[in-house]
Amino acid sequence: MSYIEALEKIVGKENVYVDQADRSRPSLPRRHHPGSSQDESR
Amino acid sequence: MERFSRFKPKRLVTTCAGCYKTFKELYPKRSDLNVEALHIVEYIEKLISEGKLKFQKPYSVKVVYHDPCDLGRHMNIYEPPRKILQAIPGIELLEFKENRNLAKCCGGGGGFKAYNNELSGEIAYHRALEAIDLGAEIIVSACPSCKSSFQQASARLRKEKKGRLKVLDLTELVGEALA
Repeated sequence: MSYIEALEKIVGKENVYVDQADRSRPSLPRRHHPGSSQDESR
Repeated sequence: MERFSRFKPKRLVTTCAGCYKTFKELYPKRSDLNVEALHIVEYIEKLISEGKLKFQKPYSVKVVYHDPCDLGRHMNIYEPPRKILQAIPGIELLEFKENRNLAKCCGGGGGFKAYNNELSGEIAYHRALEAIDLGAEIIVSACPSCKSSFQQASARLRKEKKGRLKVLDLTELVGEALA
């Protein structure tokens, strides 16, 4: 669950406005670290 | 700052401990920014205390909270995240031996990860190992830098078969508890 999805759960989807520039901005590429390919939060 | 002048918000809520410190302490001293800055843990705690946010379903899990340096030692915010966790039915809140103002760093603070990634990883790994020893299933923090550090540590714990530790930001955990 992303921060935005979590926020939508907390305050209601209708109350969350995300600037289109942020919505379409690609995530920063993750640096590769040995042993870090698995993301435990997902 | 251009966006602030365009939207003129009265209140700013951030999920980042470092951003919170910047907007709460640094910008007001160095700019004419006039906005109430809150960290999301303060905001969620306010919603809970006002009865605007209620948890219906139990979320049975053992959670240990890691105090981010920027939120804890720098901004003295220790209790709101704990009150939020205690408000979620089913959660067993565990504490590190070193907690609140004595909490150890996650290893990623102050740009240290960029300076010495190997040592930064070791610091996070030992903190995550301590969480496993406590019996935690989830390590939760309120800082994206802590989350990133612990995600790498968690992956190493699993690779070395030392245990499984889920890593979440407190905002995400609250979202999951409401799902």
